[in-house]
Amino acid sequence: MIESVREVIHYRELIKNLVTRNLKVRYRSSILGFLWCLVNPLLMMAVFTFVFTILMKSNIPKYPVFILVGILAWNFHAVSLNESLSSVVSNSQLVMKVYFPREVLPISAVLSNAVNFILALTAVFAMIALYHIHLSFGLLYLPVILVVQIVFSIGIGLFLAALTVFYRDVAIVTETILLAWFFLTPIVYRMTDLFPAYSRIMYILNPMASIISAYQDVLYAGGAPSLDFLVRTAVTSVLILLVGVAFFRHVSARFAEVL
Amino acid sequence: MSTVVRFDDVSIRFILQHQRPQSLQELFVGLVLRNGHRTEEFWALRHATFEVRRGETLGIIGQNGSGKSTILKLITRILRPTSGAVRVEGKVSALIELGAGFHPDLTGRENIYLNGSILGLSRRAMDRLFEGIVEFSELERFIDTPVKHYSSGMYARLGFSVAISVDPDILIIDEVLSVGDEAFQRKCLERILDFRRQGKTIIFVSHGIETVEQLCDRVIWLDHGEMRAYGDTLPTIQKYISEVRLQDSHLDPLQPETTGGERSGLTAGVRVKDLTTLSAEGLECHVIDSGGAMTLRCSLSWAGVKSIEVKVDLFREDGVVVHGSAWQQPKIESPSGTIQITVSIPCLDLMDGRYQFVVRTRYSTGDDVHQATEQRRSLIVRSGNSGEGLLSLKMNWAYQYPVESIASTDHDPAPIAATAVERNLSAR
Repeated sequence: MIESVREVIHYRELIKNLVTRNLKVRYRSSILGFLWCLVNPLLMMAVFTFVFTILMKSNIPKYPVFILVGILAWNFHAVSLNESLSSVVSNSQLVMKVYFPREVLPISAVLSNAVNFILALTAVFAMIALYHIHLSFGLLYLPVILVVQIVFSIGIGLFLAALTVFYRDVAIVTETILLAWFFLTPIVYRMTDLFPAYSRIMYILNPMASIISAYQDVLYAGGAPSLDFLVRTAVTSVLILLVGVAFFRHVSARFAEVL
Repeated sequence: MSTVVRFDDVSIRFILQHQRPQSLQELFVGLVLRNGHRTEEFWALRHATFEVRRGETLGIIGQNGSGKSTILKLITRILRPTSGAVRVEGKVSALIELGAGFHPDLTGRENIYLNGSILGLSRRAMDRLFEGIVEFSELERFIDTPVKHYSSGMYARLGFSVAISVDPDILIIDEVLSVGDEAFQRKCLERILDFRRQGKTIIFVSHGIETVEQLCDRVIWLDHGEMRAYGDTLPTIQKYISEVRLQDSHLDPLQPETTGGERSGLTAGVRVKDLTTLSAEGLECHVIDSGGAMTLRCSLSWAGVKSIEVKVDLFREDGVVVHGSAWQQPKIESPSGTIQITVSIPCLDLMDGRYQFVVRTRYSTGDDVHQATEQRRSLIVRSGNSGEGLLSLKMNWAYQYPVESIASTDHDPAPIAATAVERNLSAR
């Protein structure tokens, strides 16, 4: 466990290079480059705003900002999981030919999406200005929330990456789970509107709900996240990461045999 | 000398792929139907025990699938042993798959840094090595071009340059010397020899007996995952060669003895049988001394044909054609019969190495010419010539010194010029 962490730190240069590689490869071949990571959520924002304010008469004020914050954070989560899931399998050439701590692959998949997310936040700040939302000192929590989410995503990502090496249809199962997860997370609605009686237990069972709500507290409501939620989510995330690292380390010894 | 690599009773087992559930679906089906227990085991390496000392060059020889690459993957930690212990001290760099980890969309420069970090080096360390890597690869002009535009030779050159430049303690080489053009190959070999002179450890895997003999201090001979012999280079290689001689009569399954025609039950066809190589003394053998005579003998039987043709090709083990004869057309009297063919070669001036004779046949049934069967036979040539290349040319070296320096010695110049000045040195 400690050895695993030490090794990953020794290979931090590789993580950095893989993250740069992922971003370069993603943006190099398109003219608009990183603008694509803004366009996509903005279009989704338009669709959801249309559906929920005009068709379903949602009473959430300044709905576009509300939905954009949630969508961006969720996309970061979902794409991170999908990319870490395939990270080991799609780099099988490398895994079979060279030794390096394999944890590096899902970790850099999550981190390159974190960079993406940070860049995409510019769209959020543009919307905040447009809708005259006043932000408070709570904005200082933004990096903390981001770190909690990264830890959480890496933890889950390690499980998925390792399982996919052995069972390829983990990808299909994950896709379905992510869809259900999306609707159980307060992204398009507010937890208190839809599940007033169960909202507390829903938050406890779903760390993503707390993380998304924390983003909304900071970037949409202009307040600060409730501390007990954030601390509990942080603890859960770290625990998941630790179990994920231990599991991954245990099975990664057999990767080269199975790939 | 200290030990840098130690294998202690190392075995590794693979569960054969097709038996393993590939998906959760298959896993559940297997659990329900209880038929998932037909697992087949395959031991890629059994009870391997050896050690490599600092500064030593170890060679690993053996047929395909004998476990050579498995040992390398255990040393580089890509695989973990099923039982036993592998201990490795120092930084390992492997010339196994050159340019593994290059990304086609990134430039040569970016890939050098990426590859360096895969080997665990920091950016600062790579900054220091960068110039040397580019210079060695001779790719200065293309270093900012994405590597997808590189030729495979350029790709391998860049990979080799990175792997050899990271200053490893242990260098692992898996048959990569066939990289790029010949000049670059020589440069690579020179760099490897340099490396050895610095007292670093090299582990070398090859089919090429002659290279192993030139480079290695000790040799492991692997056969189906087991160590058949381990020790000083010459005796181990000799054991290997004499075993190959025995085995070759029933050939490598990858190279079918006969192909085409009569196997599918056709009535017409030609067949090559009993292909052997004979030494100058007329004895059947697999090892021939270069420069000597040898004979190739086989029998040819045919049925239902009008005419037959036969030719002999000689290949080096890496596929280089040494010689391909013209098609010969032995006269045949009846549509079916048998003849014996002997081809004698008075002087086989080849360099050390493994070669293969291929006897090919074709026949005509009147309207069409059909390719028919072929048969192969391996041969090991020993030349004792330490040069390189394909042919072992007999060379006589002479040096003529300027006449005035000899004239000034006050002796009768003529006999000196005739005798002492002209020194003949044979290369053999």
